[in-house]
Amino acid sequence: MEPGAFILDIQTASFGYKSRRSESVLLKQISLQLMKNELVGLVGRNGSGKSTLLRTIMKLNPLLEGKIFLDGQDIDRFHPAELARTCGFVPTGLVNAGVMKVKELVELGRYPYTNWYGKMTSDDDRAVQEALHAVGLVDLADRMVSEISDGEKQRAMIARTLAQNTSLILLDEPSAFLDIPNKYEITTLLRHLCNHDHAAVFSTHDLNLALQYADKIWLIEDDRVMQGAPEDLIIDGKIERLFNSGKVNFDRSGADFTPKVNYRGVISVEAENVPGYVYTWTVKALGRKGFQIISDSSGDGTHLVIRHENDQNVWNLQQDNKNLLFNSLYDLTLHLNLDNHELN
Amino acid sequence: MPLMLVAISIILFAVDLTTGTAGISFSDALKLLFSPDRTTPAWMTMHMFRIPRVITAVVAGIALSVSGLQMQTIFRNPLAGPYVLGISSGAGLGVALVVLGFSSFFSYNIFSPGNSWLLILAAWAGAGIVMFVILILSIRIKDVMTILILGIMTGSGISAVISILQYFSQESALKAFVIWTMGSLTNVGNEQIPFLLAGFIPGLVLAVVVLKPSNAVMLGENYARTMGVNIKVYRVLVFASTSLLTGTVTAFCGPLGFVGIAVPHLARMISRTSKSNILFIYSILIGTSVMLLSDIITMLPGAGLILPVNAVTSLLGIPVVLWIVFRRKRIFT
Repeated sequence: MEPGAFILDIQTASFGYKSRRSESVLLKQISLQLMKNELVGLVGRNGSGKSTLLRTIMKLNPLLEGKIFLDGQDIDRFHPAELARTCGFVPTGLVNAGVMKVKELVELGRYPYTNWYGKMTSDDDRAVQEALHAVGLVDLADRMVSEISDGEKQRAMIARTLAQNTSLILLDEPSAFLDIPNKYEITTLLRHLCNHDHAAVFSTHDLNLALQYADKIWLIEDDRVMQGAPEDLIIDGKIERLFNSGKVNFDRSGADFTPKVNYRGVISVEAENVPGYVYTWTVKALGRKGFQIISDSSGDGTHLVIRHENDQNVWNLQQDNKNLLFNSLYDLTLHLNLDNHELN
Repeated sequence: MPLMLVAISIILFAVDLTTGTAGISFSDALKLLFSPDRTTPAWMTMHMFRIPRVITAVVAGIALSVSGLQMQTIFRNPLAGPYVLGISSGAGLGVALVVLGFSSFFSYNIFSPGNSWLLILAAWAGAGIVMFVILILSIRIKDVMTILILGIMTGSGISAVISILQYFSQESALKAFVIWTMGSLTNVGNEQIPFLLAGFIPGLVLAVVVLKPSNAVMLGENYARTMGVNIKVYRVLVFASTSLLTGTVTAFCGPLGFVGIAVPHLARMISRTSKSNILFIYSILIGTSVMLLSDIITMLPGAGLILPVNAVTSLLGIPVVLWIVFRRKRIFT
């Protein structure tokens, strides 16, 4: 593919810190590409160089070696205002905007376009309105930034970069300080924006989030970065290799982390008239308690049947000819804890 | 709201113009402004003392408030003010060297009419040296908080040197210096006004030039850089503006405490915005009013007594700052 076809093209570039005396390289001679409409999840462990990579593209950190092209142009050649019109940045942490209205915060995105006094033209106003609309903050436009929720703040910051009207948006840990619904909301928003003519890179240490939403993962391992579709990296075992440690396992088939356990026993589980998710969560709970789930229920081992009776779920544990009924998974797991010694 | 502030400023301007130790009535004072008879003592009082004094008050109010606003923005610190960079200490050192050092050797009345120039030049030189050092540092140092600490430390260091000078100086010289530190709006006569304006106007123009980047810097320097602000140029312009404004006013009037810290907070509170161009206008209007009011208060005792203006501005400003602290206004965090 032509180099110009990429929105971001990193060519054998090295990233890290440079001071007068020393240079420490975090990422060595890496090459990465990003196309229009792509959402990239930049994944790596803490301190692996995620922020450094993003900050170097924004020219906040020096590029140690190699070239970076934005829209086909070397970032070295960009004038600061020109860079601001090509690439927007949402740094890590929540914004401290004090007595600033949401609308005023978004208006800052027009900074690279306004005249010396910062006068907003009708074009600028339109861009701000569109950005507010895109992130769903039109109703909060006149509220103070300090008065809105953390998720709304992050959406306002994204609206600011949208108003900046850049081909690419870089976000450093945009969901780090958010609760789970907000995390997914922000990432869904990014996904939506990338489906509509934007391209974005977000760094995260929440692997699940990246795997579910990104078109492409940039996975940092030591001083290298691998790129590929999330599924490719899972199938190749690259994610497993990076994230497995002594205490957690990455489950390649389910794309999830599970605490590493030594199985204490086996249980067969059967769902009679309950929704699939009840089964799923039952299996999770049993897994958490150290039980391996087997499909064969014909043997004389421990057998669990989930039923829906009298408007509630009932777990029926058949064990050593005993027939025990539980009304919640919590009660079931308590029993399994106590009963540990009776299971092989 | 801005119109109300303009009205308050105009009223205070008129009241200040008609207030003084000479006992000229309000209506007489207004008549004297346009009186063709230039020989009466009242005319002389009006045109040679009061008008320069009121102009000085307006200039000082604007200069310190705008400087304070800039310092609070660049350092993202609500307690920053025009003097955080050590400019007043620099001016003080210049004055101390002249008053305490120079005059110990010569029996020289530093406050005789012709000598106010000497004081002003000394203060200007002192403030200028500090501002030059800060400007050089601001280009070389990356972290703006380091500059803040350096400024505060420079100020403390200079104050220590001044203490030593005071300790070894004669009683009369010491008194003269202490009086300078109390501030005064009456040192400026008609012949000094052009020089006051020569420092003030360029400083104010620079302050207007940095209004746009100031908005971006509200979110932090890194944000500003990603929006295309050249931080080094911005810093140099801000420090040059503050140095010109504060240095000039301090040279002519002595230190005037708390105006520069309190007024930007009042501006934020009244305007409920952090848009720098709006805060700039509010700071100018409120700064003018506060300084005129302070000047009026200094003359309240009557009978030819004038209170030290630095004390008045501090007593007016401190409650505002305390109010802000206790209300824990989330301005920067």
